[in-house]
Amino acid sequence: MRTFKTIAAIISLTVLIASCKKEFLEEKPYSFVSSEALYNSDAGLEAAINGCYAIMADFGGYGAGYLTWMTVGSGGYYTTQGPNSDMNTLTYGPSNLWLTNNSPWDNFYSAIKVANDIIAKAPSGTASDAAKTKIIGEAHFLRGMLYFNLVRMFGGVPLRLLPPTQDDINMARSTKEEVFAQVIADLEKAKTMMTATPSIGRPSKFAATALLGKVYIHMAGNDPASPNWAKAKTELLDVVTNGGYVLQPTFGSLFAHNNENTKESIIEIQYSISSGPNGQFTNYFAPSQTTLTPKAANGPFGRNRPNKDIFDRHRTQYPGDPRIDVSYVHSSVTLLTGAAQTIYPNNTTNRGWPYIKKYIDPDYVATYSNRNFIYLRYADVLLSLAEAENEINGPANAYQYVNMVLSRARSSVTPAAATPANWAGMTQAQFRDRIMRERRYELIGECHLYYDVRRRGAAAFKAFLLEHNTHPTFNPSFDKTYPTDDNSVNKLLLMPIPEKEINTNTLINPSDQNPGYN
Amino acid sequence: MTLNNLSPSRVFIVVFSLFLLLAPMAAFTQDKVEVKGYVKDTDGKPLEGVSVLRKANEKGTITDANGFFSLKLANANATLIFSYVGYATQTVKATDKAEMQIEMERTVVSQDEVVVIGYGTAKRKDVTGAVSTIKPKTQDALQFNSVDNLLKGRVAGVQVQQSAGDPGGVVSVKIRGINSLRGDNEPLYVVDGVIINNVTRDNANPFSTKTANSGQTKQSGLAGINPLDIESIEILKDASATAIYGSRGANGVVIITTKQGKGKPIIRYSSFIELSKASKTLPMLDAKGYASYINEIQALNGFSPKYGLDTLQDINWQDELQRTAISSNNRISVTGNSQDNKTKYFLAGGFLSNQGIVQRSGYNQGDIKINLNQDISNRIKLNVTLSSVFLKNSMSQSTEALGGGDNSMIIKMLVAKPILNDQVDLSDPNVPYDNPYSWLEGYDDFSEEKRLLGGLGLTYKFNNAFSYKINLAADYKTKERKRWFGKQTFNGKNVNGQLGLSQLERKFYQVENLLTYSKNIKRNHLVDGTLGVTYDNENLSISSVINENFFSEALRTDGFGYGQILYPYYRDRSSAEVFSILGRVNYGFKNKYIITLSGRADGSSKFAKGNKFSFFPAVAAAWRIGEEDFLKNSKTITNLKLRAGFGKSGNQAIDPYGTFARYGQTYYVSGNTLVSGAVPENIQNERLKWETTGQVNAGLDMALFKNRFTATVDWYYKKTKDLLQTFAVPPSTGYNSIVKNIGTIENKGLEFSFTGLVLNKKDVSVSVGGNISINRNKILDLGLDVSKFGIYDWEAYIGSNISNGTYFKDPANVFLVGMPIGMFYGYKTNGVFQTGEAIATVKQFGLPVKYGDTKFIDQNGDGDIGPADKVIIGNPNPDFTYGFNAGLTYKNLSFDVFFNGSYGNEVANGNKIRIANANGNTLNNILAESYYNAWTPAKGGNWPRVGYNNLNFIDTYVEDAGFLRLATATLGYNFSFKKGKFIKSIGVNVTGKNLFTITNYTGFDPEVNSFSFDKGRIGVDWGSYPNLKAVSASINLTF
Repeated sequence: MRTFKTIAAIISLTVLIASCKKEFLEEKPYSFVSSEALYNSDAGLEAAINGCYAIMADFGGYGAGYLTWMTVGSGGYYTTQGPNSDMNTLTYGPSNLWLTNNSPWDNFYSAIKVANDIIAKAPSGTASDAAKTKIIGEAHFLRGMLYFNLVRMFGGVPLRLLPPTQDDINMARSTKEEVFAQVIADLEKAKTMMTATPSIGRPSKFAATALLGKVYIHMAGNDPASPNWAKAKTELLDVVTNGGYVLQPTFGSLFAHNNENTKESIIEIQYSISSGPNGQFTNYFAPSQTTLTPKAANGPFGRNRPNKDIFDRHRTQYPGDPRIDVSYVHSSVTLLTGAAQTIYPNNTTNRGWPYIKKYIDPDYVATYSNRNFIYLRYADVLLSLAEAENEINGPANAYQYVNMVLSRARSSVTPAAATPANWAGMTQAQFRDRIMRERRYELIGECHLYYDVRRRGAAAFKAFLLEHNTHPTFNPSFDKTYPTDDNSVNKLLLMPIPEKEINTNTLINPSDQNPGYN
Repeated sequence: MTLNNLSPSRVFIVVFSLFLLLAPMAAFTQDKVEVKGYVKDTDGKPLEGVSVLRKANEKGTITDANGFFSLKLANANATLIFSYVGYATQTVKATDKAEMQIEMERTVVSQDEVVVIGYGTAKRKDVTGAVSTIKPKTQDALQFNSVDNLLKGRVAGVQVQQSAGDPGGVVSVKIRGINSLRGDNEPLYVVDGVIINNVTRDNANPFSTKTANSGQTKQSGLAGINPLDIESIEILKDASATAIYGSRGANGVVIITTKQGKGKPIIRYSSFIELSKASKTLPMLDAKGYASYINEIQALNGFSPKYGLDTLQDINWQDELQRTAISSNNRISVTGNSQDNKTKYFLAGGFLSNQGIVQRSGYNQGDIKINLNQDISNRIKLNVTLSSVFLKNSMSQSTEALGGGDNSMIIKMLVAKPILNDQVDLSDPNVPYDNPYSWLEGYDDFSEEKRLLGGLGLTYKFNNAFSYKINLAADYKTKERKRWFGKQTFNGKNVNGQLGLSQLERKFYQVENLLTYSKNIKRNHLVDGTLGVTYDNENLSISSVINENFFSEALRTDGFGYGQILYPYYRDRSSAEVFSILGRVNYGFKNKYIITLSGRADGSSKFAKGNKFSFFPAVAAAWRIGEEDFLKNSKTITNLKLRAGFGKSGNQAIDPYGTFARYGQTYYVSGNTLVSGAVPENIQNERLKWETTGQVNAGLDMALFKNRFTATVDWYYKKTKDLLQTFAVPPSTGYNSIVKNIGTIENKGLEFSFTGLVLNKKDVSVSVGGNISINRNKILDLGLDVSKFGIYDWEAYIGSNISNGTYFKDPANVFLVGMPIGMFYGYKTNGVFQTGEAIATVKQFGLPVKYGDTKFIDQNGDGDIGPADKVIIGNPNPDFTYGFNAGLTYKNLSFDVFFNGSYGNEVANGNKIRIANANGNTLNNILAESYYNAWTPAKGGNWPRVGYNNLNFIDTYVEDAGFLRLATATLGYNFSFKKGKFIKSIGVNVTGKNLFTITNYTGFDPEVNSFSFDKGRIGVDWGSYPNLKAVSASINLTF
């Protein structure tokens, strides 16, 4: 019996010791914080919104995926990236490389998830009311901006406004109109909550106003009778009157080395050479091994290059425009070996391409650089306002806004250049045509081309593609012919919903794919 | 490469010093009578190591190299038991009048052999579950540096696959098929009682967040358990055997028991040297062939020829980058007991060096092992086990989710231009990345691992029936991995040199309280039982950091501080606990009927309240028909046992914190400085619970002709439900995946193994053995909605993309309810379009076709080829796998062969997408036959024309990968010396490994699975390391 007692004692003791441990079989997190830790302090709220910016700025978003779609995918660029050759020929489908990996779809939804989390959970946290208002406002702003990107790229998309739970991971596509309505609601809400003055990398409420103006312009499409033109004008005029933004004195200073977050910049995505989000602007645009990036003996990729017709249009229209030398690397480059290398237009072989110069960071050494990405700037607001005004009342009152941009362009060099001359004496139709071109010249490389060539409808888009195919220096050995049959043109107005989404989302079937991609 | 800091001599000094310390433990004895004798086998050969025990209290000795023994006894009226593995046990009355002469008769499996069954042992005859045992021979143990490889082909129901093939690369072991759709199907390893549940855990890949193209070759987590120290390996296969391991037993359990000290002190020294080279090179185009091919492409595109054919210098990159590798293994061990038999020790130490056949790859390892048993009193016993290992590894870059192939040395070796004088200057230290030398010049992957594994156990014997044991054990491991990409590599080129460091620290400890009971009641009733309470705790820290932009590349992996773009340091720490109560009762009636009840209640920290605890019961019974009266005296059937059982076991192999809503760290930028951010990391799932496998097993054990022939047949059926799956979620949720319990899989199979002593004459014996396993798995439920896959409506999902680059960027597998796991999913083709066929209206992928293009089969008849035309084009699961061996001894000479093989499985030969098309990519060399056999209007044929490019996964890339391989063939000779000599015996062996393989597979090796731990990529060969063939010589000395 003694034996049994001893045994029983030992066993009960062991069980007791084990179960008395305070957090027995409870997981103790070491390397991550809880939602309480995040939303119960002002600093935690800051960290939460930084998380949203960090994601959308990263590789799949503005860092590389979005920029690749907005350039190469637009029909105005060429890429040397082999696996992405289907984008080069505008024959991409739902399994395109940049929809499979590092897809802006995945990236933007990932950032939306953060915004949703903040909007859902921050209000019940114990952070200060001021911080809550500001950060929740920014979350609405970012969510509006991200859905605005998505609806322009893909049309109606799943409209997720709450953090997902395991029971609602599937979601059907909303209509385009529903998404636009949500974008407007978010931006309106943001306007009432965000601060009136920006801080570094963090936009003010006028960013929401300006973006709202652009939303209405996009919604107006090619319809001169659309009430959205007037709505756009109201918002954009508010920005011009009250926003406090000014054009930089010279076009060049806007993209000058280390001159960032200027008063012209409305929404600027921040990058740093010491990592953080992975922005590939210098890497993807700058030519390889030239004195433009003297510290990078082996880089950069220089893979996303504007088509010849894009470059030629600008210099034919405005010979001597100071913006050309700021926007493009052309004619020749000096290699790091000291040798000169001719490029377009001096060279029309397969090396004969111009490059986008705006993002070249002379400090670039690796894939990272300090070069920020300006998502929205004041000149765009002025051009957009001019566009809206022209649609509503004709050109008379619209010239002033365009001419502000043109005059800054001329005075970018001393003595001031003769071109681009101020506009005057146009018909409404002429103005409309010119303003769309003007946006290409002023904003080349800034990820607006994709939308600008599509938002006025299939006919305008087809004309744009034909300009490329029929360009005088088009060389069939190197240049890719874009498809211009009606089916292809209509199909290309929207991007395909990524294959991964269709494969995993039971509420989106192949039949729900955008037209032409099945 | 410097891998020689740990010299063999230093290891020996340490081992010897330990030996000297322990040797004086021999103590005083009171016994009076000395019994001496000699044990030989039926051929008259002396038998070494036979255990000689006095019946009553297990006191005894073992025979020396000449078969002699002497034992001091209190009086001569004792009975001695002589037992030896592989021989029938004998009981003989002792005598001190004359030297005893014992002749042992060989059997294949002894029914009295002790089998380790988890938290205890049982005699083979009393085992009710499906348990296989391997006792590795020295010559086999020397061939393999890790335990997992030792299992290959030797046990029915166990499938072993090499994933990377680099020495030190991880090996995948599956017992009875795939149970889980999660990554980890590895069995639980238990080494001398210490649970090792994390063999696939490796350092974090520092580059994973930076670029999707930078994979990292996985390394084995079993390092440090030296096969030469292993006494036995038990494989628990069915649920009645594994239920005692509860929530970790579902994938089977491999119990490794190391050697314990016994007998007079014996020193053994083994030395092994091996020469190995690639077993196969692929016939790529040579310089001339490649030049003609490229010239032909140039002509097709309207350009002038690129190469003159006369001045080309040929280079075969496969020969250039591979070598004849030299590996060695030296080990010394000391085993023995003190004269009073109260202290038993086994000490071993050694050094091994394993060179890879790809240049610069290989590893060096030194280790020390101590097993010590001490009787403190009649009631209290102490056992201590400790092993310590130091390992240094250098790897080449091979298999991973890599880009176009410039990121893999193996693929680069195949596709690089075979023209030496058309490369950039090779003496230039900045060799650009378009040439395979760059991987030699510009890449390092070094790791250093230190591991300490040890335990301490105290047993207290209350009386003859009850004893109590407490075991404390710990497994501590740290590993640093350093990967350098110099400017010669694509990654390094972009960033002026890139260095990633990663660190892993794993602390594991366990406490076990075990109470055992064993009693024979009135001869007819045998009862034994085990009751245990255990707790274990795992604490894991992983960290990594990257630096880039090195102004000097001279220091490579050691120059971390010279990089100028330092990335934020990543660190993650986690812990997991399991608390269990376990029990087992064995009841035997009349030595004929045995029933085992076992169960384990596990509580795990990984699950939320309410789901933390689960109970895993099992029951099994055996009927020893051979003991029934009608068979008892049979001369033919010496043993016949029928076994049946069923039970439940679990799998909790998920990362901790799955039930939490976690926020992870990130960084944004403000004014070019970093500011920290936090982002939600997962979709919370509080409902997570165990994955449960229910299994039924029935088996028959048979022994014929005095155990000269044995056979075992097992049938099983198992069903795993609530599969823990990392389930891909729509990207529109903002997440990639959720961990969920969903779906059901079944595996059923038949296993057969046999051994036989075919010939057993004086001087000559012939033995054979073999096994065959048939497993069929089927997905029963995935928890998905039925949706459209081409022309079918399936409940299914598609596997992961194979690579991120140009080639093979599509997934290869589909997981489909009603079918085996991982069926190949792609396009069916039917040769190429031949001249004269009507092709004017034919479209493929929206484009018109030409003669000589691959002809895809239009499954849906829509007149075009697209993703909707994909169908099932193959099955990666074998019909059966097998292994067999044969041994011949003639006097002192022995010859053993071991074959293994597989039948009916297919492999997606991914390299073919790149090298089996004469697609005209000038950066690619291709297989000679894909150029020479290419379709031409004159010649016709079924290889696509020159200039035709196909990037789709098609049926011709799926190949039959069945094979039969002569895994090892060993010739041995054993010298024994007369008693009293310093050296007792010398054994010499010569072994050939992989001497031939019969297969239709055209890649490097049919036994390949490049992504063996990724259940989304099954049966794919993507840049895997070539297999090797080797010859080795070894010598074993006994002193």
